[in-house]
Amino acid sequence: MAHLRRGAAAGLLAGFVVALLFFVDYGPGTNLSTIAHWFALSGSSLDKLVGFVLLLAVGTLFGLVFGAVCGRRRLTMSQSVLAGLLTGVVWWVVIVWLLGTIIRHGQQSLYGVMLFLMSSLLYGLVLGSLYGQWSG
Amino acid sequence: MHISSSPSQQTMVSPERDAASRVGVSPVVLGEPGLFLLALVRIFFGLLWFQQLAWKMPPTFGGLRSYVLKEAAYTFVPGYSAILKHVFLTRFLLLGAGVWSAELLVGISLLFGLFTRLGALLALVLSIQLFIGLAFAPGEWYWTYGMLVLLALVFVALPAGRRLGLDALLAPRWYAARTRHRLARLLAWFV
Repeated sequence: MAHLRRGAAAGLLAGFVVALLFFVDYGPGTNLSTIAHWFALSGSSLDKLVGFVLLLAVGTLFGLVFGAVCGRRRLTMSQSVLAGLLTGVVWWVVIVWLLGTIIRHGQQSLYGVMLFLMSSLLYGLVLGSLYGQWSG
Repeated sequence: MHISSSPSQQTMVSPERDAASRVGVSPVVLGEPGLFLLALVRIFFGLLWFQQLAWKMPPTFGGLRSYVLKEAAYTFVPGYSAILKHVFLTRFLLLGAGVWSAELLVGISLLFGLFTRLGALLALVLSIQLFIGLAFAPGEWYWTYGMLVLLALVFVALPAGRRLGLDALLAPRWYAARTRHRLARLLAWFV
């Protein structure tokens, strides 16, 4: 159970970091509305708050799965960070590409593609780093 | 400065500790909460650079031109205006590609904590250039660029990529190899 808790907590914090990054733009928080739109939960004045909470929830969920998968092995810090980055790639495939682009037909500029790829990998890096540190 | 709680990294900085104890001062220790806060600031400083790519995207790097013209008009360094006009503005695409790539490298380096001090050094050069060109232009607050310079200096001084960053993986390797390889000694400073 400890590894699940660790994974969920690391995922929550990593999701929080990404949510904070998405808040800091010229909107502010335009990208948080985009997240809400991808989950078909946009359309109200609370779009940005919904996007923020969604990132925390999805971050926790991914962290939980990360903890479940990695918990059976004793990972070194390097392995944990690399597994985290891999999780970031999965995040990008599932949330950005599959949900945002294929299902919700989102159009991204080149900068948008770069931003969401960077934020997905950053999620994974923070997740893997925190999990590895707390496991050590 | 001693920044680590892990035994391997404590060994790395022991000469600094010895030196500190010889002169009778205790080394400065940054605890884990402080290190994580520093890493968080690093990530946001990286985002600052990354976001500035958006308004000067290739292939035209269009948004950059007005700022270079502004720099040429209001720089406080004699001769810099002529260099901007006759060297850089005449080869604007090359300038745009260079600035855009440099800012992308800074963004990636600081966001992911990858060769963080090298990224910060590049950020310092870019910030000094912005300060020289824009600090005293109309409508600009000179401290905006002054703060950019100072923030970059902080990340040149501190190894901020060793928490929530890839430098956490690289640093032990470069430190272990630094006595054997000159390149490793250089790379060890960049993480």
